[in-house]
Amino acid sequence: MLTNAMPYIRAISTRLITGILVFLLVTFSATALSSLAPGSAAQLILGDYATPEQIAALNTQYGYDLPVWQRYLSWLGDLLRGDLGVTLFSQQPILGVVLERAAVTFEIAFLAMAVSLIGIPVAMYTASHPNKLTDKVMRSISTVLLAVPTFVIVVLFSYLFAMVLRWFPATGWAKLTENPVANLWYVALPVLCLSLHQTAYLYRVARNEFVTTLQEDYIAVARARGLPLSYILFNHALRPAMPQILTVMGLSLTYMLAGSFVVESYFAVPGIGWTILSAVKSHDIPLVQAILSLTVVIFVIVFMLVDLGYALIDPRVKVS
Amino acid sequence: MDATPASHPILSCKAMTCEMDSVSGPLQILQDINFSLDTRRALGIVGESGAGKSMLIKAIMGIAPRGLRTKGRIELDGQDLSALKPKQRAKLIGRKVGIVFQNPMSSLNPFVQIGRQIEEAGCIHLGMSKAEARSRAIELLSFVGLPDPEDCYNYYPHQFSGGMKQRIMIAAALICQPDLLIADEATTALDVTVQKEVLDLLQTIQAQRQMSMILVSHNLGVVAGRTDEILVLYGGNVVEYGPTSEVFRNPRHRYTEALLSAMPAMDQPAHTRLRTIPGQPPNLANRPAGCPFAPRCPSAQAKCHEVMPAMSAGVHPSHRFACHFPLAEIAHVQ
Repeated sequence: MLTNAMPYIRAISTRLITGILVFLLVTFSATALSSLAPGSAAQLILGDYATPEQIAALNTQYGYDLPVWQRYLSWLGDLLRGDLGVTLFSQQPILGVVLERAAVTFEIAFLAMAVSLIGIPVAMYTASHPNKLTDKVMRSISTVLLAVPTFVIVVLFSYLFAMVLRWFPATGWAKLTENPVANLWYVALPVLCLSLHQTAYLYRVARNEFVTTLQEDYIAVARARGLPLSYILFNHALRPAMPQILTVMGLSLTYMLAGSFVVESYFAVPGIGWTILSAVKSHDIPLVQAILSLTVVIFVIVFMLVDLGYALIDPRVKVS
Repeated sequence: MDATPASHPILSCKAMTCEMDSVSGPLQILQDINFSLDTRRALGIVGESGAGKSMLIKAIMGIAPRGLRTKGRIELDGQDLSALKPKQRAKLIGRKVGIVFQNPMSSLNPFVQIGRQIEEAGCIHLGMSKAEARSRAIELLSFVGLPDPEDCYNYYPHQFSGGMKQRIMIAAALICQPDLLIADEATTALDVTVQKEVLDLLQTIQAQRQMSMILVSHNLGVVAGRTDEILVLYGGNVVEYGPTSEVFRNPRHRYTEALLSAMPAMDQPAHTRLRTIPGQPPNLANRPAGCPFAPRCPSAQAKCHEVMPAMSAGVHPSHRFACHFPLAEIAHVQ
């Protein structure tokens, strides 16, 4: 058992090491970014009418007058201590704020991901009946869904479901931990809007993947053995199509986990996307840096899981 | 007294025709195919690439590409296949016919353990339990000559060589104890020594299990000692059909004769130039009106280009050929 797990442990550790390198690179760039802004970071935060005294005070508090590498090292030290300081304006602990917002975004992203999985069985069915009516209809629908930008979908859906049908609220929020039912009611529209593109995208990729797989010789062999279509689809076509589907799911997940600005800000969902947008607008550099770091961590973890997924799905892929 | 039951036709095709649409109009892929294979007999189907060998097998098995229209009557063990619904037909074929395809590399699903691929048809068609199917699969693996069948059961296809994969395909074809085993160019993709091993295995299995067998090949040498009858296809038509020994000793159709003389023989002196057949097989979209072989035939005459020859019988009652000017019959030695 341990000998079976060893390659996986090795693969995970090598990927974690590269992940840490990527993390350092990106967070350092984020620190350096604030130095690239015109004027000093303190000037940027306080605006054009700040007095030199105010700027000097902020510089001493946040160390914006120090060289980049020094600021970066002290930020890293803060991170290791688990104390990233407080947000510039509301003066809340940054780590707490980021984790709380991340939880909201994670909930929506995973729900949207779960909804988009419908695309896979639909793709399976239409790929096994190519160019029949359902196939054509589903392909057209997915093309339309992909062509309509999210901000249009958001407006249309909130008008239809919140204003006309009044099924779901247009804005508002309840915490999952405090009132799960109300929470689900509030996330319904954001999840639906976020999942539409993902579903259409996943459907298209999965359909093409299934069509290709169904042309393989081993599928013809399975048909010659008189195996039923449903059996062939689930036992012979699903697994070969999975690596490609997994890639798309990984990309979708990172896209959604990094925060969907449009959906979150439109529905006033207190998630990462909404937070980073307002943090950028208000020049809350420490908060922006914290969210960027979290995003890097998410990307590294998701891609690592996708890579491990390949090895679990395809017996020919060697881990590490 | 003979204990074996009386033989009856296991597979027969009557006036079978396959047609497919293409950009240049309908293609006649197979024209008026007639043959009948009895139980415990072996049939060889030979012809060049594009002669329609594989299409014939695919049409019989019901796995032809979309758009292929098959007419005529195909009977499997007395059952008219065209009268069955697609699902029933697939089930009947799956139970009664085992098939081994040309390319063992792509015929096995690389994502599924080979044991599973061998036993699945048994579970579905014969309702075998998991344990029963497993022991049958392991038994078949050792029967086709795989070492350590218990371990092999759990392996994936990429862990085997081409010859081993083809043996696995044969094991899978045998799981439902079929009445008919079809080997569609089953050894073409293998190297020569492995080819012989696999062919010998097929022949042994056919004899031991008292099955019928169809060997499809472009190589006359493959079918020579291993079949009872031979069907020569050219451009989608049967040009000669008869007992293998008879056709080899006494070919009547000019195409069969040309094929036979294109085969290297042991008793030829060294550096003998092999005879080849000049020209190309017919374009199915633009068939000649007469004999499909006429444009390449050294003995073709005006009639050959105009009138399609009908099947005529040779001296041996079941030897038939479609040629206006057949080769002379060699005196029969009884």
